[in-house]
Amino acid sequence: MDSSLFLGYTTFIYLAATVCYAALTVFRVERLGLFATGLTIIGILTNSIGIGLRWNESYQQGIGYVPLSNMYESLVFFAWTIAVVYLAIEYIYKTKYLGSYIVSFAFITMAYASFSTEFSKEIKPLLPALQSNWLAAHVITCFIGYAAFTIAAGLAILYLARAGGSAEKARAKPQASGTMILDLQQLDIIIYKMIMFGFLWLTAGIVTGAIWANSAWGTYWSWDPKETWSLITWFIYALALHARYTRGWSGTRMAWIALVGFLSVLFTYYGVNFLLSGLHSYGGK
Amino acid sequence: MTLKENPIVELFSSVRFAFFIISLLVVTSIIGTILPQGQPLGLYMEKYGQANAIILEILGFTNTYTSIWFQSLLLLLCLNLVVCSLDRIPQVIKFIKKDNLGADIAKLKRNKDKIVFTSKGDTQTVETAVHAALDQKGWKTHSKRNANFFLLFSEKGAWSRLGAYLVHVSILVILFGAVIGSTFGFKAFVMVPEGEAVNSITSRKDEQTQIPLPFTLRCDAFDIDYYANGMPKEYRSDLVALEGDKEVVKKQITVNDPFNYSGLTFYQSSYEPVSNQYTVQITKQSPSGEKNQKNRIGQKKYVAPFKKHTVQDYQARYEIIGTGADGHGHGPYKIWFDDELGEPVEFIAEDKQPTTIKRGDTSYSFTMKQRFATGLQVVKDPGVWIVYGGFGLMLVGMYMAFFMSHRRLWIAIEKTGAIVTLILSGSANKNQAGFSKTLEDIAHGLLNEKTLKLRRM
Ligand code: HEM
Repeated sequence: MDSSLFLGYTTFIYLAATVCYAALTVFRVERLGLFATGLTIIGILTNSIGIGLRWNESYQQGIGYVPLSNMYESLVFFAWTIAVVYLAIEYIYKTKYLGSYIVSFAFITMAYASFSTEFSKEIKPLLPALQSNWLAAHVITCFIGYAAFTIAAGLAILYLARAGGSAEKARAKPQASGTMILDLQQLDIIIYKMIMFGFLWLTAGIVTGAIWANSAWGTYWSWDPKETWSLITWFIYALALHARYTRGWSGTRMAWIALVGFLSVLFTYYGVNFLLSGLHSYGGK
Repeated sequence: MTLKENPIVELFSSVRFAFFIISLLVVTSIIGTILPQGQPLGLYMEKYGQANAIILEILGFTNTYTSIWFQSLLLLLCLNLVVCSLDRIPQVIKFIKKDNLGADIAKLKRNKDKIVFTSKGDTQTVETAVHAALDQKGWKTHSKRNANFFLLFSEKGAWSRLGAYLVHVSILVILFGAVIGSTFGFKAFVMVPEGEAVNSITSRKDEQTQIPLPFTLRCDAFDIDYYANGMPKEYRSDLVALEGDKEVVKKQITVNDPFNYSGLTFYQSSYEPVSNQYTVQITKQSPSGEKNQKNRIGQKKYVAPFKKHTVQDYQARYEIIGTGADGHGHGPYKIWFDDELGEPVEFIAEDKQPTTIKRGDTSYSFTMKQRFATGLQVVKDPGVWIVYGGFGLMLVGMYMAFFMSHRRLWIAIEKTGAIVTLILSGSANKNQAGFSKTLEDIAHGLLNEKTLKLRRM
C-alpha cells in the first residue's frame, strides 16, 4: 500500500464525484446527491491517507519531512483543500449545485499532479534551508488561501456566464432542496466570502514565509520575485475588499476582480518559477 | 477653513487615494520583478541598449524597491492610513459606545428583522423570564424603563468594528519595525576557520568596513552531513561566545537554527575549506596505560599535508602524503606513520572515519577531516519583534474584520390592556443570515419557556 496508489484512486474518486454532481443537476434525483457527497468525502479520505502515507514513506527513506515540499506535494494538498472548502460550502449553503463545478477543480489538480511530466513525484531529500516547520506552515497557509481564491475565480466565471446569459430568470426557479440553484446574489456573496477567507490565509502565508526566511537567512523580506508577487496578489485582493466594502462594488465588477486576482495567484505560484528567477525551490527541478 | 475641509487632508483621508497608491505599488512592483534588480549598469546596457539602460538607472528601476520614489509611495500609503484612521476611528468608537437604550419603540416596530410575541401573563414575569432566558444564552442585558414600555438591550462583538483599523495600524507597525531595523541594525558576515576566534565582522553594505564585535566568537567545529544520494543534509557549526577568556555560551547552529547573543544573530550561511589544512585527531590505547585514561581522546590539531608532525604525547610521527583525489575535502587520506615500536607504515584513512593501526600491544586511532571555515551571516535587527508584533496584530485584526460581527439585540415589552406585546428585534453589521438564525434561536427559547405563555404573531 503506497501513497501513489491512494493518490491515484483520489484522482478518479474526485472525477466520479464530479460526474455524480453533474448527473444530479441534470436528472435531479436526490439519491445521486447523497452519492456525490459521499464520493467527495471518500475522495478527501483517500487524499488524506495518501498524504499521510507519503509522510510515513519519507521517514522510511530516512529523510522524514512534511510532504508539502515540492510542486507535486503542494498540488496534492491543494486538491485536498479545494475539496474540503467545497464541502463546507455545500454544508453552509445547503446546495449541491456547485459540486460538479468545484470538485472538478480538485480532479483537474490531481490529474495534473499525477500525469504532468514537468516535475518529479519522487520523495527527494530536502536541502537544509527547507527543513523547517515554518516552511510547512507557510505552504499550508498559502495553499488554503490559493484554494479559496481558485474557488472564487471559478464562481466568478460562473457568475459572468450567467449574468451575461438571458436565460437567467427562467433558470432561477426553486428546485428540490439538494439541487437548489443559487441566484446571482448568492453567488456574489460566496465569491466575496471566498476572497475574505483567502485573504486571511494568504496573509498568514506571507507572514509564516517571512518568519521562515528570517529564521533561515536573517531577512524576513528580500523582494525576491516570488515574495514580491505574493505581495502584488495581496494588494490586488486588498483593493477588491476595499472596493466592495467602501464603494459597494459587487456583481460583475467583483467577478472580474476575482479573476484578475486569480491570474496573479497563478503567476505567483506557477509563473514565477518558470519566467522569473528567485530563491524558491518549487518548479520543475 | 477647518482641518477637515483642507483639500490635502481630504485627499489623504479618501479611499480613492488609497486605490491610486496601491495600484501604483502593484504596477511598479510588477516592473521590478520583470527587470533584473541590482545588477551593474553594463548588464542593462547589454540587454536593453545604452540609452534605455541609463533611463532605467535614473528612474531607479534597477533598484526599484529601495528607490526613493518606491519608498515615497510606501510613505504616502502610511500617511493615507494615518489620516484615514484618525478621520474615522472616533466615529467608530462613538458608535461602539453609543447608548442603545435610547431606542424608540416605533422604530423597533419598523425594523425588518423582528419577531413579535404576545402574552397574557403579567409584565413582571415576562420581564424577568426574558432577562433570564437571554442571560442563559450569553447575552448580557441592560435595561431601561420607559413611560410606556420596558426595553432590554444586549450586544456582542462591538469591538469587532475596530478590526479593520487594527489591520491598518498593523501595517504601520510592520513598516515602523522595518525602518527601526534598517536604521539601527545592520547585516554583516564573517568567515571563521575551525578552531579560531574573531572579534569583528564585515559589513554587507560596505565590504571595507569592519564592525567590532562586543565579544569574541569562536568556531570549535564545522561539519556537513550528507544524504545517501550525496545531497547536503545539514550544515552545522559549534559556536562559542567568549567574554575575555571566559566561555559564556556555547551553541551548535544549523541552517534554520541560528545563535542569538548580545543583540546579534548568527546564521549558518556558507562555508569554505581552509586550503592545505586538515583536522587530525589521534588517540592511543595501550595495555600498559591502564593507569592512564582508557580511550584517551586526543586533541584536535590542524595540520598541513606533506610535512612531518609529531604526536606530542606519544613519541610518534606522521605525515599526510595523500589528500584524496576529489579535491572536495572528503578524503580518503593516505598517511605515513612511524614510532619507536616498529618500521614506518603507510595506511589509508577515510574521511571522518576513525582508522586504527596496531603497533604491538598498542593501537593508534586516526580521525581525519578537511579543515573548514564556517560562513556566518550576522544580523542585528532591533525591529524584528516589532514586525512580528505587527504580523500578529494584522492576523487578529483580519479575523475580527472578516469573521466577527457586531450584533445588537433589543427586546421591547409593552403592555396594552390585558395583553403584553414583546418585540424581539436586532441587527448585525455582517452575516445577517447568520444573525437571523440567532434571532430565531432566541425566539424558540422564549417560546419554550412555558411560564411566559407566549404566542408568536
Ligand atoms: C495594503 C493596505 C491595506 C490593507 C491590507 C487594508 C485592509 C483592510 C481590511 C482587511 C479591511 C476590512 C474590510 C472588510 O471588512 O471587508 C479594511 C477596511 C477599510 N480600509 Fe483598509 N487596508 C489597507 C489600506 C487602506 C488605506 C490606505 C485606506 C485609506 C483610506 C483604507 C481604508 C479603509 C476603510 C475606510 C475601511 C472600512 C473600515 C470600516 O470597517 O469602517 N485601507 N482595510
